[in-house]
Amino acid sequence: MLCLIGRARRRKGVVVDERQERWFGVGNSVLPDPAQAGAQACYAALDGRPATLLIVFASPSHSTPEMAAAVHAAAGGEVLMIGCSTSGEYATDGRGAGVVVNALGGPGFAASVRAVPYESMDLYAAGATAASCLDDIDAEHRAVLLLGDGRSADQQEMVRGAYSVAGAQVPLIGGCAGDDMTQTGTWHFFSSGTDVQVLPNAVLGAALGSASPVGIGVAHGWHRSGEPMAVTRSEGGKIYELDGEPALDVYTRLTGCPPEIVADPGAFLQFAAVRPLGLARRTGEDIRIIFAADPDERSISGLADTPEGGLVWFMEADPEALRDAAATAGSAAVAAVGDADPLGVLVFDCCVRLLALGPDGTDLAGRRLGDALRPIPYGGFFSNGEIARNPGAKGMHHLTVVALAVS
Amino acid sequence: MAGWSLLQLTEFFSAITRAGDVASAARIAVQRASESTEAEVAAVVGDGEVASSVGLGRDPDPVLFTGLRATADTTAFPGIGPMYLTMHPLDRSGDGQLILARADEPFTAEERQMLQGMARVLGLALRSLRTLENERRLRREREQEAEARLGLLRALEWRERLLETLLRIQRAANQQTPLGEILSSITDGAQMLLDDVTTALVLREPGDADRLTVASLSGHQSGHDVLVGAARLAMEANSPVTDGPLAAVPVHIGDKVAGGFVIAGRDATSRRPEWRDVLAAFGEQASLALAGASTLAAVHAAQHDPLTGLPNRSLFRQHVQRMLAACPDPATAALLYLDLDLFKQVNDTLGHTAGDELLRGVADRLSAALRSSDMAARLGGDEFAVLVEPLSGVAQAQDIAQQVIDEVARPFEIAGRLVTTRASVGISYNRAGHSVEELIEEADLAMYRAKKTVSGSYREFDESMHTGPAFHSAR
Repeated sequence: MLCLIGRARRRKGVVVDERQERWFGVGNSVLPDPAQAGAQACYAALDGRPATLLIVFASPSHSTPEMAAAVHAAAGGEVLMIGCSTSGEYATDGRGAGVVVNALGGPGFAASVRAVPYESMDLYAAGATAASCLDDIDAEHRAVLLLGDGRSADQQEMVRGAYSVAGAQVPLIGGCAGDDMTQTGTWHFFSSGTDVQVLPNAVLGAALGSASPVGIGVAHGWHRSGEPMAVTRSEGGKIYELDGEPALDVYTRLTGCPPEIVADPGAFLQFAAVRPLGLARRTGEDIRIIFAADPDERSISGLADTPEGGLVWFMEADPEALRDAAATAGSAAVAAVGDADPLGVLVFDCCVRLLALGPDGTDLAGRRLGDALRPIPYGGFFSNGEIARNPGAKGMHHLTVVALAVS
Repeated sequence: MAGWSLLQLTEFFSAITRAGDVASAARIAVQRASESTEAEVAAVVGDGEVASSVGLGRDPDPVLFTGLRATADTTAFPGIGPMYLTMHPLDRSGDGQLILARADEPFTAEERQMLQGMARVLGLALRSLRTLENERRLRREREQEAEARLGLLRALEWRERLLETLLRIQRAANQQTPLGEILSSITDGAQMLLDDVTTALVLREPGDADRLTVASLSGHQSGHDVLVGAARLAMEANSPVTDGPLAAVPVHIGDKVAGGFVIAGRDATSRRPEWRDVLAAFGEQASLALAGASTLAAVHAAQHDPLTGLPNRSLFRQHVQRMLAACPDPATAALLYLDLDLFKQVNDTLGHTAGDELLRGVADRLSAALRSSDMAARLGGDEFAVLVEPLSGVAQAQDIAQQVIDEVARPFEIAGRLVTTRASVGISYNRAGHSVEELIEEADLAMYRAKKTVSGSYREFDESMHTGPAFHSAR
């Protein structure tokens, strides 16, 4: 079994932060040179403090080994680090194509990391291995941060594997790496201490231990529309029939999708990505993004398994709720730490929301997130699948915003 | 929502039927059942063990599940707090159960009904998977047993052949069979038992304990040096040695190491255990045979002409072979082939005893005329051969041939009479790619030409002799 392991250590010769408090810092940079941007973002996040863990989000243009090395070096060169490429990232100061470095440290924080390179094992085992970093952490409050490969076939399997290790006591949170929605490949940045690695399409895990609570928030802003339909024939993510009728026929009728869009894969992706299906759950629904149609088979394809026998609805977005989803998730995460002092928030925001919101809507959503969290620092990225597994959440989400607050 | 649970059950059923073994069926069951009811904790238990669980981390204490009261509808798992519980038997008999626990609200009647359906589906799947696994295991065991039996049978058959071969050799030794034949039967027997190998018995040469000779060889007729080298290693170690495709054991006469028994394969082999058996058995057999012959003198006798004491054809061939391998440059050695004129007349007029005496005299003069590095041999009848090596040039071979002719031409005193004979000598020189047979045949052809033209002279071989009018076989 191939995996990489690291655990936080107190560095020799480093002066302990005089404030003797836990902290969370975010720095971002849109400098064109990836290494310079990485270093700038890291200095801003650390503000001279020794970090327990770095969490790096970088645009594909900045996802280079030089950037990863520069971030790591800027933090003193012996620090745990996880990170991934994105479809856009944001921080307290706004969004842009560059590098966002999130860092945390101080007494009471502990971290341990694992990396599972691409195809070194199945996704279930990869999830279990990534979450096994929990073995190293003994703390009152714990969470596992997962950064998955946004292109892998069944991300839910990865979450299932991680849950088999973490169990109900420890929440799982994270997102899958992005590639600006080009489907060309994702990158992960990893350090278990001294060496820095840039891994293609990997799965990373970081166990976070804290003396104070962590909180999770989930929101999406979509709601059911019309009557439920039974999935009468499907295979994996491909849906052939809904209520006994060809799935594409049902889909085009209910969404009003014109034939010329069905015939053009690029146009259909743009159209369908913001017109998802919802798979029935006991307390809500799992959103299934539709991304392709096969006019010959009259089938539609979703990003995740839509099992035969399942019940689905068409989902509609309430524009306001959609714009508020990030703020809602962030606020819910902060509220979940209770009376503790929230220090910072990590946000994993679905990249398809960029299409649903448009540039102005996305900026507005960002401002609302900032307003909702101010003065708490936060960093986030647009992901290819969002992970939140705690009571009331199944694990893998789409078109959703999930947030983690630390205190 | 009746449709919802039915569809969940359908989904569960199709997932569970894809499971290939008990462990993955149990894993799928706890995952699907927990996900469809949003239960944080789930387990499949049976026979006091947890087949699979989620929600309590890896390898939770089985008692947390197996210790639950059958009628309980709430429980508290450590670290999670109070939870609503539902437990469903997998079948009517047996103690297998599907267990789910959820924190936020109790399981509804519809959910319980659905979970009961899932438990029964799982029970059926597990029963058929267990049957399947048992059958697979039985089949595997049967196959392994059959394979083991076949292997044993082969080993027994082989051992029987080994014993038969040894017995045959033993019988031959007891029947006073000449030593040379016994030694051949030892190398032949070992070679037949092991496919595609060369076997050799290498022995010290009498009078020169450092010099080793291949006394018997079965298999490929080359690579004497390699075989002698392997034997030497075993003799020096006085214990079995292996070296790549070679393996050897020492052979003893009494307490003394007299030689080595060598097996050479094409490459390192998986049949080494068989080699070891054969080496041990035949090495021992060779030691016994040699002990039966009492001394190395018997070995010497097996390789020398009893009348003249010169090496016989077999030993001579080995030396020529060794020379050809060691001297790749042309004309660095010569082979003289001698034939006595008038020998038949001596035999006919003075009798065989006189003939024998003449042969002994010629052998003595021959040996006296040669350098210590040269080797004379009696090939049979009145034919002798000399290996001249090293050779500084053809002139040296010519000189030695002339000396031999001159020595033999001096009268011999036999039974009170002076007997005169002449030697005709053919000379051939080594060249690249020469075989022992070619070298001897060329010297023989040259000797014949000398005898026909000027009796008591020497001739060197040239290619025209192959096609010349005096056809050798017509002699």
